[in-house]
Amino acid sequence: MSLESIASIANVSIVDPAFGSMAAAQQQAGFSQMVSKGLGEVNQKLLSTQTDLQQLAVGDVQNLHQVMINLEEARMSFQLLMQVRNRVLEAYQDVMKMSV
Amino acid sequence: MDYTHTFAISAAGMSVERTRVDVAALNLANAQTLQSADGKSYQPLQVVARTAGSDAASFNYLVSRGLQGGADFTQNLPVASVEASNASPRQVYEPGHPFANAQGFISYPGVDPAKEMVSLMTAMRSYEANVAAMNAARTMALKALDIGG
Repeated sequence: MSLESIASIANVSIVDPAFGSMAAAQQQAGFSQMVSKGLGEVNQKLLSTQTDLQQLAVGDVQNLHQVMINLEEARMSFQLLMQVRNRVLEAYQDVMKMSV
Repeated sequence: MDYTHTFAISAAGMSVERTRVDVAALNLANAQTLQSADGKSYQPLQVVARTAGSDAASFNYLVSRGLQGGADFTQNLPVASVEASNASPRQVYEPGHPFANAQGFISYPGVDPAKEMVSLMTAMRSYEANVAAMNAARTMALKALDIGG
């Protein structure tokens, strides 16, 4: 049995059909850039809530509920980040534990 | 982000209810005001909530909404506007008061404290309802993060 039979698999691009054109554009960019972009967005959200909290502390806040909603949004995007990290790490460990 | 839409909707509702509380407090605070800056008596205010999109129910809007494949409620967010009510002033007999007219009456603004208290209570409960709706959306999103975990 020759290994050539599965060699064609390497040419198959792993493109989620749900992403469509976005995936095509990001194919060169790769997974790491996607992750770092998401990380940057979450970090931006956390930083903006920090600004909100500072304004709250000095009593310069117009809308208390807006501050709380921003806090919740930041928390949820962080939770999403953590879930993605858990999945990725789990997959990595599964692969590493694979007996060859 | 899907859940931020729900948050924006609830935030709009909360803003409206907060305006309601502010206006009720202003009316109560001015219940005994005889003269405002322009020399006339204070006119009680009231909050009128409208939806933001004037073409909310137009055919084009509905078609484009249908084409987008999902409901876009941000067109229909409530917006509060503060308007003067035409409540007639309250006449009180106080002769000897510097603002009394020839018959000895002074006119206090037509603020009804009972009505203001009821609108305060209603606004508070509506605010709570908006918070409950937001918490429900948040719980759903956090539950969605539990999928497969």
